[in-house]
Amino acid sequence: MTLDEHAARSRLRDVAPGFKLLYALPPIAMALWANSVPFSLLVFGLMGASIVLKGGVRPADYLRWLLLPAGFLVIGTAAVAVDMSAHPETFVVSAPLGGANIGVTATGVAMAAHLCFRALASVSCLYFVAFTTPVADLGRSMAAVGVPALFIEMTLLVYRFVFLLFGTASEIATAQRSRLGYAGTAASFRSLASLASNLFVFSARRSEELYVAMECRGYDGAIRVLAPSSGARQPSLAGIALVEAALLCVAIAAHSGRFF
Amino acid sequence: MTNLKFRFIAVPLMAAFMLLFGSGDAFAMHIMEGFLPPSWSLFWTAVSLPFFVLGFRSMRKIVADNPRMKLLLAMAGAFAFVLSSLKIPSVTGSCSHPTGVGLGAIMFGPSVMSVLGAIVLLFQALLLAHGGLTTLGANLFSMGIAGPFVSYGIYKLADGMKAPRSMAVFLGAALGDLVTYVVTSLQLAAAFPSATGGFAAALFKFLGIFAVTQVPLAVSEGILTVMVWNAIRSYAGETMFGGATLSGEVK
Repeated sequence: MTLDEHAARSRLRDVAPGFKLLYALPPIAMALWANSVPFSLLVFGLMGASIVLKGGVRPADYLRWLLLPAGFLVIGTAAVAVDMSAHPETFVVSAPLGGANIGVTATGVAMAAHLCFRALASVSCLYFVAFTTPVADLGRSMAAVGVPALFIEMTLLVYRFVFLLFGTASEIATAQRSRLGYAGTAASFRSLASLASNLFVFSARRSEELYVAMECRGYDGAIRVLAPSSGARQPSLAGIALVEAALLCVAIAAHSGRFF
Repeated sequence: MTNLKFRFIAVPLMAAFMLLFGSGDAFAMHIMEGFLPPSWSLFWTAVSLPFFVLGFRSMRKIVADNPRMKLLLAMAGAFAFVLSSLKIPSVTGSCSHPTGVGLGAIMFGPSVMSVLGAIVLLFQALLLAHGGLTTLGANLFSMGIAGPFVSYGIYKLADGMKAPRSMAVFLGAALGDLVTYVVTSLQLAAAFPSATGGFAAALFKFLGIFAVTQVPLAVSEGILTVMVWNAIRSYAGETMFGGATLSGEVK
């Protein structure tokens, strides 16, 4: 299931997007600034609980998505932790490699550990937005904070076209695979090139057709859509403010005291 | 029960192996959410912003001159997104994802790519969990600004020096890819200087790690871009590029 399918099915879908952004975005900044493992864990737990308990996402699905950025996380934090030097005594653990020594220093490990948890906390906040808010709603909330109309329209058009092109691309790929189009490297290159070029020509022609169709219906340069009115109960602003304030207090304590 | 136990052990192990030794999913070049310290996030956002604003102005002008370009540009953005989710066979035998940086820059020009790049990166963060919101500025700089500008510059330069067109396209796409990878390594090294050797050692480290996937990818993407370019040109003719047919038309 794709992320926006989760967003469309979410139990928090009808909550106005502004509330959700207000809930999930400030903790990213706090986690980055506080740079403390316990605070990161707190944010990670809070967002995870919100996604699973409030949003109604199955824990297995959430965990599967959490594994996705793990590739970068593993490689990135390992690169931060591991160092090279001519002097083996600077390392906690080291191994000689050629003329130099490869190993980990205490500061490197500490930095990597902080980094790992900070990144996980921020990812969980990003996931809260991604798991509960469909892109169309995000577009509307972008308008509320004064993002130019052309940019929002572009974003929504790209969003629509992505799925159109995905559908076409996967049909072409299936047809190619059923004719052994991806057997061997040379064939793969050939098939992929014809897929990409056909997709491009298709998308150019399709955009032309769409323009003509819209022109016929009185298109004058702006796409106006009605915002759906939902009767869902909205959360209280005070409640969210309270959560954020509490988080901020913990973040300040963690940042200044470093006692966590 | 044993099955469950097996899954508990095997799945993380397999995942770890795939991540470390497998294809090394080439989305790896997107700096993940929360990876950069706040000061560097702000810095790269500030660096990217002027390019984005200029790109947006030029896009607004293009759209005002010819409203149908709006849909073509949006299609181009979607095309770049879909292209980046395809897997290309890498010359070393593993698979990677193309970036589409070179193709987009050569076809649409680098300034528009900075806006389309921002939209594509936003969707990659929200729909695919690649990249992130706080690292959007840094990723935009490497993939939406540095890569396309270098691609376009090299392509124009090689074309001006009367190199064969396919050579120019190959060099533009491959070097644009390499620049993306070097800039990302620079960004990571600047944010996380090595404890023993400082910035230079950290840069060496990050370049070395990502070279495993990125250097073969640059070659593959160069080859693929030439093939796609030739196919599109033979189908649509020279006029397709630069929107000459569309923007030149009288409405």
